[in-house]
Amino acid sequence: MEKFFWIPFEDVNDEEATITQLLYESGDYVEKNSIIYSYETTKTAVDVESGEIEGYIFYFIDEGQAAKIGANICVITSDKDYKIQTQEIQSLDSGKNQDYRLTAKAKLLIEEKKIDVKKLNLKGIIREKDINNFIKSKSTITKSDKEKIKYLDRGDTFIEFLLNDDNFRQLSSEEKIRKYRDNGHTIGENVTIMDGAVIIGNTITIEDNVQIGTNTYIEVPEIVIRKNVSIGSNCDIVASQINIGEFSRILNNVLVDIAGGRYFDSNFVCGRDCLIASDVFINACREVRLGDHVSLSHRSIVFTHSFWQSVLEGYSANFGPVKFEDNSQLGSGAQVLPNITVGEGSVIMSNSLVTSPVAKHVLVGGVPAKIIRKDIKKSLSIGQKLRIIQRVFDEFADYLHTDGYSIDKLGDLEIETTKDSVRRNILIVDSLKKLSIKKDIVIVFKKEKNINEKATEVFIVDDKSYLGNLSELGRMLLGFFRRRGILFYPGE
Amino acid sequence: MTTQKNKTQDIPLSILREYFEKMYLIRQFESRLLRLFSEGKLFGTTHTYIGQEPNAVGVISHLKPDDIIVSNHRCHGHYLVFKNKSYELICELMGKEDGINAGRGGSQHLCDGNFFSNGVQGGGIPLACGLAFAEKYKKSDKIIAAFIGDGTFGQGVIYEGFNIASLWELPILIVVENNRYAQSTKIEHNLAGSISVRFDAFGIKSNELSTFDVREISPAAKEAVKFVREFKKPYGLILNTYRFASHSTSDDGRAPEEIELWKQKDGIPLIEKELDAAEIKRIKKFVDERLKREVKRAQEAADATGI
Amino acid sequence: MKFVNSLNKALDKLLRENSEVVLYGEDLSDPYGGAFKVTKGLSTEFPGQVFSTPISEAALIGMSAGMSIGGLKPILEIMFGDFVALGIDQLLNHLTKFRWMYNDLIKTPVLIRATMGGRRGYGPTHSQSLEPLLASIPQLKIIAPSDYHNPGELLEYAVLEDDAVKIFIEYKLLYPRELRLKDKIPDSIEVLYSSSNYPTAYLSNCFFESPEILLISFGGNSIIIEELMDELLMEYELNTEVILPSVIKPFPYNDIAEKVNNSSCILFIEESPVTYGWASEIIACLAENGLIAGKEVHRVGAMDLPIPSSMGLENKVLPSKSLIKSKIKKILNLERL
Repeated sequence: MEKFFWIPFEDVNDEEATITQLLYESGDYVEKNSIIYSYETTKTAVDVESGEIEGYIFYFIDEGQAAKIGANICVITSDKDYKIQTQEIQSLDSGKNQDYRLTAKAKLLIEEKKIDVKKLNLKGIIREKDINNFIKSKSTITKSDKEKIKYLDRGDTFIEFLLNDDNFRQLSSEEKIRKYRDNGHTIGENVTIMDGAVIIGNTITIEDNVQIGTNTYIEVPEIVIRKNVSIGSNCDIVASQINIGEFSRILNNVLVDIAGGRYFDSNFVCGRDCLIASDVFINACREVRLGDHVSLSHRSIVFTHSFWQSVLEGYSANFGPVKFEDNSQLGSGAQVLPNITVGEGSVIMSNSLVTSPVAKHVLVGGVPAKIIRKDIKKSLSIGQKLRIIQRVFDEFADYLHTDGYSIDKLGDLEIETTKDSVRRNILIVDSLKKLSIKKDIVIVFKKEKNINEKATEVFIVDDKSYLGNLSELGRMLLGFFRRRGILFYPGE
Repeated sequence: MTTQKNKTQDIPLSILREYFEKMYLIRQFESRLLRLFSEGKLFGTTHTYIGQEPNAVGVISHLKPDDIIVSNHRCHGHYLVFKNKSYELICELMGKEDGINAGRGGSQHLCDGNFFSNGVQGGGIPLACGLAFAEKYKKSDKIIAAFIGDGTFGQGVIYEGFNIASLWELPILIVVENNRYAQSTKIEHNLAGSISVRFDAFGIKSNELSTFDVREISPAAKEAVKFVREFKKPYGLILNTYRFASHSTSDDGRAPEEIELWKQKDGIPLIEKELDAAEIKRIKKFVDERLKREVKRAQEAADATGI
Repeated sequence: MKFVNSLNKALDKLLRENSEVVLYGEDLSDPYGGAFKVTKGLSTEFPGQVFSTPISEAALIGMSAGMSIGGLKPILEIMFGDFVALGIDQLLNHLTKFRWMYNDLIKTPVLIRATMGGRRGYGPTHSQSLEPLLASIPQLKIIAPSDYHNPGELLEYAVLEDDAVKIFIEYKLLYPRELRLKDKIPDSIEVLYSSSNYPTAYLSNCFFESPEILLISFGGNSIIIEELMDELLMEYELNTEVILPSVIKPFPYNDIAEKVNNSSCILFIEESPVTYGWASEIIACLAENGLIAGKEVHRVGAMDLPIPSSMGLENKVLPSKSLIKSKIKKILNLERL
């Protein structure tokens, strides 16, 4: 049996009253017809009696606080252990506990730009200009980048020639290269431009050991291709500026376009040793920038624009660059939308749709992509690394065996192989100091002094480099280890 | 309320002479005013006390100099008895710098230390109550004498004042000068019931006289003043009287015969014949010359300029 | 601190430290403590100085003159400002005239506290804002604090330091309000003050940078204005500045001249009727001084009608928040959002 008490509406014109006095404490026993609390409004002061009920009193509000008219002040109950439900506790003093408030204009902008407010750490009143400032600060474009849009120089006769002449593409690689050089472009040694392939640009720089596959069309005002890059066949690359880092590979049928409108940052840039697999589609109306060792798998898609329906009807239009930080990977068939940065070392599962920035070292997947696993990059101890390399080494030995090499295992970390009567030894050591005689191929963790005295070909794990001219065996090891992500680049 | 048969107490001749001089001063002052007005030498209007002189003299002679008077539009008589500053008064009417309030207040709105007058009927009662309250609060010995007329009893605010004065026991003497006319309206057409019953209604002790004889008014006033000062309670002194001149200037619609009849009862000749003829002549001459001098001086005085 | 408590505290201090201060009016005594509880506890604490009176506004106002001439400092409470009308003669023809017409020979340091304002459903005779009526009385000072001022401090100053005849206006709706001082100022509003004895408050929702509209008002109108400022900011990012003087007469033109000069759009807000209202006087004076030529200057106030009792009707006669908002939108052509 219980009776609730509240401040009645009919007595007062106010919306709130002050509880001036609580005559008991919660849990006290109250007799009939006792005064249990007093309240005050702007018109009157009232003492409230318990009336024809006695029992244990529990207050929902403290003395001195303001209470809403009509809300419960206390209860008198026969239940000695009455538990106050949290929703009964009420006080006008608990105000808004929102940290921030958005103006209507700010909300509109956030809607339009699909900004995640949780990422913004907002406090106080947020106006449209505050959101604008945030957008500007997140832009990867630096002031120095704010140049004019680059177009092909249609006044250049060579460029006109390249655009209109059907026969040029069918010339031999040497003839094409000569023509490029004659017209002031920089082409390095050992460069091959296969049949049907053509490169059209205002400034073309191609370094040594570059291959451009058959029927590949590149039309970009500023082109820089570093050494040891290979571009496959039937690619169609149109942008304002491309910059391909050394050792990167672009496979066949890769499309780069500027749908969405050419802009001053309609660029495609990638660092060293990237892989743009076959059938990848990159929309570069805004900059698409890959760090080092980034992979865009088969048929993956990158967009830097999204619009279709009218913004006047509540639909959105977005333009913005996409960035892949070092060592990240876009799974096959997966898609990345504008204004996204994929963090270092992260993996996007196949067929996913990335709609918001991806942190570092996470595995994301799904449509829209969500984090599946965090902290996927781990730091391993030397011992663990050694065991892994040992396993890879074992597999390598098996592989050599299938390729006609005979293998002699001299221990966990050393083998001797023979093919065509050439005997070579390969071993893994933690320190070259342990070697008494010179070995053929050695894998060490750290760089040491006087390496060339101890081994002909040295692979330094931590340094990701190799020293010495690689033999065929060395190149096989290089490729085998590379396919397990253990990378070695030519060292000094 | 007590209506006594008022005894003419024995008042020493020296006092009577004083009374005569004061009454005569008022009479002459007011008469001169009317003449100056008719000559176009005074600006605005005024409300002369002619005929009611015995009231002012009879009552105010019993007030102490630091008691407070709250008067009304017909205040010259009260002022001259209390302050005896006829020069300053005429200057005030003439709008001279030397005037009581440097020409700002004029005839009806006077303030000289503890003398106040204002032109709104009954308006002085709350002021008087407030002053009385202050004096009581300060525990002083002063009393307030407030002068009202018959027409004033139409104003509600005086009843508010009576109520409060009686409820809070304020030291205020209310002197009602019933000259039977409120401007142009006879009392029969203005007042329901009677004046004295109104005081009864508020529990205020009162006394009513119908005389022009200052020898009757004086003792009654003395008793009234004593009551107020001793008991610090209000008292209503009703003096049924008559004014001989018009309400303000030349707005008299009363029948001349009626006025003549009342003039027979004039309180000044009444006393005049009790005094030595030579004394009378001397006093009259003194007053006349004084007034003549003062009027002339006032006319030559500098005009008031300050705002 | 609440508005009503600020006044109560100030009265307590005045009565305690000055034996010549008396406080009187209808229904002031404990336990009732005044119709709006402003005088709660005071009659018990200061029995000789605080007392209830009969219902006689005229006599009470008139008495304050006598009391003050007699050396006291009377504070008179008029329960509803509408009832000042009962004592207008005493106010107009006596109290406010004495000092000047008596050539400054006496002083009347009287403070009359009167409640004003509607929006409580109290009906035509208990809801008015009669400031324009009172302001036309010469020699009468009118003080009207908002909840952006410190009413207790103003009251103390007015009673002790200002010997004019003063009406101190307290808007009914302000009594239970928390004073908007120091940490109680809403997060979207900044506040500055002039250095006058009766300070003018300046409010802004844009850090006082390039306001698009200037609102000028006083007293209880601050409640609607505060909400308006926030809504205008959140809905339109409209930069608004507000001037709230604490004294209506004499009007502190020096406190507003510069802001008016720098504004191109000004709206006056009052709860009294617009016709022959408070704003008319201010605008006339500003116009004469060339401060509003070529600008958008508007007034908003009550209709020329008695104030109805029912809430819906009251909200039509008195200027509602939505009315003021739509007026601002119309003046500034805000439908662009």
